[in-house]
Amino acid sequence: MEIRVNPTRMELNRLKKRLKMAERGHKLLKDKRDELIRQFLILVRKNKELREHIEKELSAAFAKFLLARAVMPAETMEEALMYPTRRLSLQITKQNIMSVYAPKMQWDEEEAAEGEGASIYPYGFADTSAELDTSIETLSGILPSLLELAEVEKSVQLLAEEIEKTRRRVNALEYVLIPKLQETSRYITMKLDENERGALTRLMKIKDVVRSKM
Amino acid sequence: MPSDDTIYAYAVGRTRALEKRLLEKSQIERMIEASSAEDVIKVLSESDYANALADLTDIYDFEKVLQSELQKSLELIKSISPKPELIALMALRYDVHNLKVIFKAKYLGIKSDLIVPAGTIAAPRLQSAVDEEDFRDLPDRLRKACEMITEGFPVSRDPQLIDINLDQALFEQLLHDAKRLNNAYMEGLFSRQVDLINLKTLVRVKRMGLDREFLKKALISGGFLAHDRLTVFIDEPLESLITGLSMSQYSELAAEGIRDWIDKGTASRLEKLADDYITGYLKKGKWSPFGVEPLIGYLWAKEIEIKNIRLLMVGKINKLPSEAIRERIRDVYI
Amino acid sequence: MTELGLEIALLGAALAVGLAGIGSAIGVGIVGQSAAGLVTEDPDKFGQTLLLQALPGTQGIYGLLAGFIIMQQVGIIGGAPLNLTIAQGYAFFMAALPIAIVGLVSGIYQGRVSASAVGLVAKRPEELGKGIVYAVMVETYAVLALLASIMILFGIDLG
Repeated sequence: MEIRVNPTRMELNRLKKRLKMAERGHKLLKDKRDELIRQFLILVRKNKELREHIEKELSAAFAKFLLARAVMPAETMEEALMYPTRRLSLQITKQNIMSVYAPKMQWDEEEAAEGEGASIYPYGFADTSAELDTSIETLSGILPSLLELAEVEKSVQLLAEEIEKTRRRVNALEYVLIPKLQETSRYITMKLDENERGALTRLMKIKDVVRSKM
Repeated sequence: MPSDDTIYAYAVGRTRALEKRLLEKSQIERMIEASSAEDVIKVLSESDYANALADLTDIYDFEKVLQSELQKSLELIKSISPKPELIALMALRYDVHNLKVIFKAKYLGIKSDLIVPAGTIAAPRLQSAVDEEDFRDLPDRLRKACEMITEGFPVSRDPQLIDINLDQALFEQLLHDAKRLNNAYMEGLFSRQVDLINLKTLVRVKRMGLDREFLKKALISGGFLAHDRLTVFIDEPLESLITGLSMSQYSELAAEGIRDWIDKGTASRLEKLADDYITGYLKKGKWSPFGVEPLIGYLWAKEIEIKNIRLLMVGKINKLPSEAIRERIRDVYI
Repeated sequence: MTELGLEIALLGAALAVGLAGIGSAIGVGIVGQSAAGLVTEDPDKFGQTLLLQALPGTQGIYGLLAGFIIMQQVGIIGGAPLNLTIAQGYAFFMAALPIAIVGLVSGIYQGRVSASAVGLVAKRPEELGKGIVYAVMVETYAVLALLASIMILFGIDLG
């Protein structure tokens, strides 16, 4: 499995330089991996918290929504929610976590255009159920968390990919490239030694021949 | 002596037969205990709904069946009633629903398929009235409300205004017409409905954390409870509302329903009791052998029945526990 | 010489038949409408509702009976009308009044009760008997009125 090289001293020097570089890269990548994992764990923990919180809130909101839906005709329900009073503008920028470009969301909740004092409830009271209020309130409160969750979840996913990639690189360096380089340089050293020994033997032989002729 | 009311003899006779086909308590109970939505349909297939359900291919289409059943009853009662204009009052709220949809669709710049065909005015006419901002064809109170919306909405852009204005106009119109047609029974019905809506609105506005000014705008006039009496409770704990209502006809309803709202944070009990209250009121006229009462009672009964079926279907499809369904099931009229 | 007695007696007969008949007609009419409404939705109820509809019809028959007796007494039916004094004529007239008035009113009210009984039959066909009993309670007064009319009629001195 050794690399086909000319067993020259120049090649050896070159290999040694590559090996040193590979080892340095390996160390750096290992550090990067550790840091990535640390960041990853933080995000994962945050993700878990957010998700649990949101799932709890959402299922409560959906339960309320369902109950409201159960006592309101479909068309009344849809009419009630037809015209939203809130508009959301969302801007996505990049943030750099260990050279991973994770999305960063920024949002602005605008009250319906120039309308001042419009509440989050876009419907009247006569034919809607009060359970709808609770549902809408919960859902409206949960939106920032929901956006945050989307942000964190995407970051976690990107980080995981990056960790995987880095780990593969570290492994490739550790188990393939570095051993290969070491082996090859050992081979060249041995070959050079061998050549040296051959030359020495040859010299001694010549010396013997010359001496016997004299 | 022959009096005017015997003109209802045929209609009441026919309504009696129709009443008999309403779902009974035992059938509702069986549906509550049913294990799935399919089983609910099975129970319904043994009832008056058999024909309507025969065409039901997708269980999620049940809403359409319910809507068309309700509309059929409305049309039938209207056709057998010697005074269809009284029955038409029961359909006016569909016009209001349609107006809300048309207004919102217009301001959103979309087309909407939420129009309900049960109204007294054809939807295309409402549509062109809104498009051309010409509301001369509408009943007086609705016309005023529509004009207010076309003036107010472009400024405030608050969709709640559309609903609130039209709801208020609806009940003003209903009370006005009931008075004009000299029907104290229906006046009583609408006034009670207004009161119950106002009570719920008060608690809801309070829960939303909005102020007295908002409540004043949201309350509907024409009820027995004066607005001044209601608005004072916005800054007081809900318990005081129960005491405040203890001398009114709603004392029991408030004691139980509002108490439940305070304790469990859910309005379901109050909403059920409010419907039951109206059922109780209408039941008083049920046995009047001549008169519009049994007809109105039947229509309300049908509405409640459909509400119950919807609750059962939505509940079973979404696997709500039987208890949660049972405590929301409205009392039956028969 | 003829007096107006006969005419007054006949007016009484006419009122007995006419007013009681009107009462019955209105009563039967109300029940008929109500029954028609029920039978539209439930044709099996025809027999039962017909029975109820027939109940307010009796007042007309009572009226006819009273009228008939008057006509017989005054000889219209025999073809030999009596020459009655005005006093006698009024006596017949008075005799006709109970069934005429009570027949009219009770016919209408019995009709209303019967129409309500149609509602009862719609819900509980097995309780038809009770519905009939209620309607028949009204009948009592028509029977009493008829009794009074007949007692007066047979008490008139034609001598």
